[in-house]
Amino acid sequence: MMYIRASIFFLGVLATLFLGWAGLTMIPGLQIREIKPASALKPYKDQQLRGRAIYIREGCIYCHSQQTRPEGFGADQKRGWGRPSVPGDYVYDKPHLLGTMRTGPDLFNIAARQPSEDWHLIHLYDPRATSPGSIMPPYPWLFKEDEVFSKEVYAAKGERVVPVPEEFAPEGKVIIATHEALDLVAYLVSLNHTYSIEQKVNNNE
Amino acid sequence: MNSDQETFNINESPELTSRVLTDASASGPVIAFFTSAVFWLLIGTVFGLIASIKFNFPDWLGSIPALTFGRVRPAHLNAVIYGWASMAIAGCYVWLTARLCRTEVGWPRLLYISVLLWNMGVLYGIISILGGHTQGMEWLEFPRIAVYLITPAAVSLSLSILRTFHARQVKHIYVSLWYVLASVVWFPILYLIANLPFYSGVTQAAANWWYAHNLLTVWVTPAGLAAAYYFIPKVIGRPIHSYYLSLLGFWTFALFYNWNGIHHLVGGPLPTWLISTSIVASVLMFIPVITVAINHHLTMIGHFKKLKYSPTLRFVVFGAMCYTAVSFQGSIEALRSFSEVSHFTHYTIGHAHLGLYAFFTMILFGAIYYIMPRLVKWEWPYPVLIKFHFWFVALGIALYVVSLTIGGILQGFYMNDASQPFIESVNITKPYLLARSIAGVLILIGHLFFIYIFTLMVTRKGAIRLTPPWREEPEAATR
Amino acid sequence: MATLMPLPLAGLILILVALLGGAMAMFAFLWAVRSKQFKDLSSGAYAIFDEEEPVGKMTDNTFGFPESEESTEKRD
Repeated sequence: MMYIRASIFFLGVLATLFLGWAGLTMIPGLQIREIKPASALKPYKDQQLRGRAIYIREGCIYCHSQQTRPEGFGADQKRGWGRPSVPGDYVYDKPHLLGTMRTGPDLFNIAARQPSEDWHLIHLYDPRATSPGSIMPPYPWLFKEDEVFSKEVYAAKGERVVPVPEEFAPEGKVIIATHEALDLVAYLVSLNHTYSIEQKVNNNE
Repeated sequence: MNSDQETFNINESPELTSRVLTDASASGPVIAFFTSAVFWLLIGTVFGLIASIKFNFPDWLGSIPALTFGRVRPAHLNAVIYGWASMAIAGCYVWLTARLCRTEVGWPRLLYISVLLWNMGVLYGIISILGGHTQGMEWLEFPRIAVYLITPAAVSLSLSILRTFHARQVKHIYVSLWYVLASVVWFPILYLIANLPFYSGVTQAAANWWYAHNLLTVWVTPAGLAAAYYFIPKVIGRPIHSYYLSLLGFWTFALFYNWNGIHHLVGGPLPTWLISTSIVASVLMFIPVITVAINHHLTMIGHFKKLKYSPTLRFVVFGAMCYTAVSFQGSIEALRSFSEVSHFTHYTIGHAHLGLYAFFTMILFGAIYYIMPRLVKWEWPYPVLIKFHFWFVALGIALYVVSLTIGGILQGFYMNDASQPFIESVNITKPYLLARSIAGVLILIGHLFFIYIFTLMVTRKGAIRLTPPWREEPEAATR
Repeated sequence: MATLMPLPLAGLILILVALLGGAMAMFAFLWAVRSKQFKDLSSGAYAIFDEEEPVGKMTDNTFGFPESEESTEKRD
């Protein structure tokens, strides 16, 4: 009697957990697995993947989402942040970076709005140099300082000079982007999912 | 210690003997769990405060990679969830199970292994996050090695608790024990499934949020409820209002709460039916929440003056009230029309802290205030510091939740108004984020009071008071 | 191109699982009723009390006792 009671209890407990798991991840997984990537969506290149790893390392996800909401649900469409995202846009994403916060703007189509690599480099070096009022942290360790030389010297050294406005740059120094900064920017300027999709997936109509 | 008195009392009453032996068998592992938990509470609070101040002064500590916001924030979350909350839960479960089964703790050595692995896992995980090594998903940041340390730690805990349950000396299984048993079966399974490398793309997002919300379902909330179901009636000396409702509450809780997670992705690129399912389940949570609310609050009716004498009761009743509040808030927040505003804003952070702090952490403080004297056989030194602890954290969390609730709603309105530049949705939150940092300072000060008396308690230093459990109410005052 | 798996199949699995779960729950409930698990429910609420700590007795008085705190101090 005691054993029947305990068994039924534990079976019930396990059943509730597995039902939830099956319903919320397994069955949608079956449904979504069949989805092919949109034809215009390219797999990430090596440099973009390295940049994506830095995006993850520095925790960009805690303030930036990568999902655009449909018309009538928030102002994403009116702000011109790109058509609503669909599962097919994410097939190459592992780990997913959908995000749940917008302390900063959505980045799903940031490359369409801001394609300039220099802008992104300055912004990463000091966000307030491009965006007054921003509360984004700076990432100075993605950059190094160098003496002031002529353009040819940097070219010979293979260094990318970041055109940081004077009042934000250290005096008498020039800011050079490291490989990590260039990788991260390569990832950011690849974030463009504004291509058209042939089929509307049943999203929030 | 007064050993004469101990012998005398044990011979007097078999029930008291059993309780003393039960508490004694739990003593070592539970103190180890609680001490670890309190250590991680301090670490987690400091990380949380650093992260909060970075919103006010984004260039502060800006050149140290390990202390950038995107690493300190997950370090905060993981330290408080897997360090503080998990080990406080473990200690509480071990003690509660032994008490409710009226038997000694089973396989105590497993518990020492559990404490050790758990601390190693959390330490490794936090250092990894600060060093930039993360799995990149919220609540699942810990790298694999940390997962391989924490999973066996959780399994060891579960085995010990099931062993204690197996050796029970009671016929009736009290409702708190239902939550404990379900929880120790659920948690290791959930933790392992969520860390499997199966998922990618939006399915991974679904799995991520199924996990993150279910961690509350299977681990944090059952612990808070189990403790409240035990301590409220036990401290005031009155059985819970309706035992029948508590059982109904348990099964509806188990059934509905496991389906809530995807409401974190409302408006996102997932099938509509999936998001709707979670919204429906979130609204159905009203049923278990109301049953718990009736039980906790109606049991207290007529006994509120007892709050004056018991720190445990203060913390637990505060937590139980916040459970009702946070659950109602959560059900409403899941609705599409509300979520449209609150999603992606600081409102959600306020909600999370109302749940994890004002409800869960406050109840666990109450539990620790009750359990520790019975383990170290010592009274809490400086009761006035307990009052300071209570008022600092209670006011701190109130300020925290209120400021982020208002700030988050305003942020949502500005964000959803396309005529406003996006930066305005940042600017509008700034005063509220400053208030949040002030709240964080209050909470940290409260924790320092707590940590100080907790340390005195563990090291048996400080002012001596009377010795429990032999400290009794004077006859005259009782009847 | 992006075609969904026919929803009826996913839906079918979901419905079958739900029916199965419901049937299990129903059987468990019927068993519970037949084996008199619901008899004398309220006694469960008293499981946390005993002779030493009976109903009506506060078990935590860190901040002192109602009325006379003085007499307590003398007892130890």
